[in-house]
Amino acid sequence: MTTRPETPHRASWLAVVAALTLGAAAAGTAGCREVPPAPPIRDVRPTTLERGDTLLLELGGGGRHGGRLSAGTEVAVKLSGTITPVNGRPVDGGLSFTGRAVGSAGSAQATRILAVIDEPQERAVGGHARFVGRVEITPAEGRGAVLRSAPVELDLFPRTLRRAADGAWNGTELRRVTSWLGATVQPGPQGLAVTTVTPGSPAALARLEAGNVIQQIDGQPATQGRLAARLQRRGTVTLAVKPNATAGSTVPLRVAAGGAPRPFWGWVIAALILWGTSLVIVLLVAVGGGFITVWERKVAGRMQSRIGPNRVGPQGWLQWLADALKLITKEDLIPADADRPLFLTSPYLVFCGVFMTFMVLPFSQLLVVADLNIGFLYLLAVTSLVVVGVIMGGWASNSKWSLIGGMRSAAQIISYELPAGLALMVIAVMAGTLSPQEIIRQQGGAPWSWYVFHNPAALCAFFIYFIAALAEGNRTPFDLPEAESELVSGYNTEYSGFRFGAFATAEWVNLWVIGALATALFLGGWRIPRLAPEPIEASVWLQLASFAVFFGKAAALVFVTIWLRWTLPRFRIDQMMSMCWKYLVPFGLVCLVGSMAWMWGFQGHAQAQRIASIVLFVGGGLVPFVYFWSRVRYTYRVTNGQLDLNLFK
Amino acid sequence: MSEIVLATPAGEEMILNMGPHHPSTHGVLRFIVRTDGEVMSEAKPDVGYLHRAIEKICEGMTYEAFMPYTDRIDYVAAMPANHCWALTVEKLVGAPVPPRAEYLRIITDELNRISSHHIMLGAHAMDLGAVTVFPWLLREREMVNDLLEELCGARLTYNYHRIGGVAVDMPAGWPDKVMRFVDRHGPILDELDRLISGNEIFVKRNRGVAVVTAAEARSYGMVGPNARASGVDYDLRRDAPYGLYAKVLAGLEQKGTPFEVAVGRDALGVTGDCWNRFYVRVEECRQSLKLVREALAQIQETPAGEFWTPPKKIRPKGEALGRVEAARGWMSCYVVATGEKTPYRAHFRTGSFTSMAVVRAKSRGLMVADLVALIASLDVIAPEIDR
Repeated sequence: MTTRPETPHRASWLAVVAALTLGAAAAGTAGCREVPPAPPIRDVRPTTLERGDTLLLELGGGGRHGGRLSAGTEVAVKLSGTITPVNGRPVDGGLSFTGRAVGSAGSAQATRILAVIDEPQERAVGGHARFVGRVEITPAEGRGAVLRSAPVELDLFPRTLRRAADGAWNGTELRRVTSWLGATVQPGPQGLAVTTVTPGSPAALARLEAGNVIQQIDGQPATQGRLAARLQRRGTVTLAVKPNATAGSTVPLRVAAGGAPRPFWGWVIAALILWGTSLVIVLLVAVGGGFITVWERKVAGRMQSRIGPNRVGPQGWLQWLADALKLITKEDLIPADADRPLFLTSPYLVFCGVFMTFMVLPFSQLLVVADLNIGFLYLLAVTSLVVVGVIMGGWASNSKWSLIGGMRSAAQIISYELPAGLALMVIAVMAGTLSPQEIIRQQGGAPWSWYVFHNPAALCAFFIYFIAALAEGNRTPFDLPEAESELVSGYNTEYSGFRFGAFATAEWVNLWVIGALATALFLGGWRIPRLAPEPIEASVWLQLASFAVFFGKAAALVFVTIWLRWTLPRFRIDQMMSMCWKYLVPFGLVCLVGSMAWMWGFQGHAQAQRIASIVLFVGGGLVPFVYFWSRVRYTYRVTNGQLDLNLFK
Repeated sequence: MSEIVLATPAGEEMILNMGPHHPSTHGVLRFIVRTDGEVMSEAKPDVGYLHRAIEKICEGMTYEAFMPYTDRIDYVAAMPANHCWALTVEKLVGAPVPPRAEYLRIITDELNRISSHHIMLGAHAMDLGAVTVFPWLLREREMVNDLLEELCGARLTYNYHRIGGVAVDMPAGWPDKVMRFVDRHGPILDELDRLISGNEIFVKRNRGVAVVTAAEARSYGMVGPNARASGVDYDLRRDAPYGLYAKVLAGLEQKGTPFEVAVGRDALGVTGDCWNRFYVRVEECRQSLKLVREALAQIQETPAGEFWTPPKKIRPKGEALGRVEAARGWMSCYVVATGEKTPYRAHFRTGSFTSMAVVRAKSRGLMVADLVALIASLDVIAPEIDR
């Protein structure tokens, strides 16, 4: 806060006189009640504001240079200047509040103006914004001359539960209160030592001085938290103060607490809501993962001429519940020679690594926990947590099979992060952002306006990404870390019960992550053909439709991963590594350069780009699909097979 | 044994104990693997976990009574083992076998060969991660099992052959069912090729892995599909025909669809590698279908009901060797008889046992995942190794 009390000088004095004359004339002609010119503004507190807070304008003494303002007068407080939303462009604008002038006890002269920031102001601000400009006091009717003004810089926040919780945790609440009080305090051996006192502040009015030691607050030992809590109550607070730390007797001081920033105990609720929300997300995701297991087993059943689970729940769709119950009730066996702490924590690392990705997965325009501007970087970062968990589990099990599985997994996941990252860079270069929502917004609803068909390099990048994602997710043909026939079960061989369940849940949830990511990056995300993002945002039904679109695309990709798993054999470790380093990584680099070259070449040729995209859609999408479908039909014809797509029997 | 247990790792090596309980050791096999990371310096097979002294048991019972035990020599392909014992004893006593029984033996042997190869093909693919192949082939194998169950009442251990014939004649309508299976099965084998045999990853995993040359195969005494995959063009059914195989083969020749012994070649794989050991069995299934079709055609000319001429009294004296082409290659039985009710000594020589010997030599320098492919491609069955 850099508000400086305005020193009255000749120029401004003349301006004030002129303004006053004009204002008086205007008021006179309008026949309004005349408002006396206000005393100069000495200070504006607090500098960090949110809805419901009170802005306090400290007025200087009247006298020769200042006017008089009687206590109880209503004035309009206006902020005019530039509002710069964080992550946005500055806008010229202003905010107005209604303020009330109050005086010190027993005086008719106003010493400060309190203005409560109400909801419409917050709506004008939107998110976190910085205000730089002047604060002006005008008569309550909003007309007439500016009575007083002062330069001010403010941080404006919407009041959100999360911010309230942040504030509570970071001690901002205390800072806001002490800022209002006008005194800085530090905990010491005898109580709270007052280090500075702002002249004219409530602290100064209560005759608190620098060097004083507050020993008791309302008869109880002085702490910072208690000081903030008591001041936030209405009324007066009695402080037991010693003049200094070494000598003197304790003197009671009374602080008029009216006007201190209000307490907001919502942070407890906020924390609970945050906790509850994350629990809901984790549970929903886990349940979704559970359904994927049943789906996978049913698809596998159809592929293998058998039925699959069909006993628990409607047509077997609650099989995951039975599996989960079984796993939870099983003994959580820990091998005698295992490294206990590592063994116990590793499933949770894997679990967290996968579940944290749901922070940024954009299920629809509004259904996203946080639209981080580094969203995909964050994704790459948190999924790396999985490898730590896997290698920890493999090592801590103290089993050779687990160890080999863990080592394979480490080599595999770390290697395949490169092609995945390169494919991501192709998209980042095209979109110019890493924010999932922004990437989706820049694509279109129709297939030929998806990034996958944007240029040949992007089409290749899609396959590179998908292959790399399969490898990172330990899915066939890259399921070497848990190759049942080679390593028994790989890194999770020694796990049982809930911990094994955590591994399994993470694995299946990861399928969904693979599908959702590829959908967001390459397949247009939640975009609906022929609809811009704005109308989708406006309608709840279109939101649901866009969620369905996203879900459908991601589910299709999940189906492909399932289908691949039950079709393909797995690679050998050396083949897997050579495929990554000798083919995918160089090819990914070529795609990156190719994509950039394409964008350079097609810059400004929107029509040519559109035609190229449609050609790619037909050649890279439709034709392969038709060929695939004819192959399937041929096989069904020669073997007298029957297509059975019904998973509900 | 002690040598195996005491094998110490050198330098960075470690000892991996693979089996006897391991998903890809096909029963209770055990390998002591010395590895440096993923690369093996040696894999020693440790056999004997399923040894039931079947040959010793044979010395304590009559020739007829031993027939069910032969089922347990190779429970995946029990019919040829039955055949081997019956053939040997018939040679010993000079018992005649009615032609209808001979044809039934050929049909059941070949059907059983198909079902046995299905297990191998499916397990091989499954060990390399392609799980779907296994249930698909099990589905086909179930059809064979249904046929054999309808014939002899058993699905796995048939006890169908008898000294001097077979236990029962085929039931009414059975040949039609067999023909339906044979007609259906050709396209299924083509589908199998499309699904897995030519699969890029599958070929990559098997091509050039554990190549056994023809000379090595002979020196290790490898037999059957494993030897043929190495380019040894030898099949008992053609080169030393027993029963009525010669007649069936001649019939096929006449129809212009001659029986071709499946031999490994440099196609998608290299002769003698894991891929050829896989594909030779796919080809053998095709050839077996031909044999079944021809034998079914010829059996119609034999009088119904003449399927068993039991010898009056089995008290042979002398020695005899019976050889059949079982699913895992040459199965030979050598019996020494002294005129008693029970044989003096009987010995079985089986394909899996000789195949196991090659594992140790071929495992050097392979990766752990290759060992799985090698074991699967050799199609070893634990009870057939140990007996």
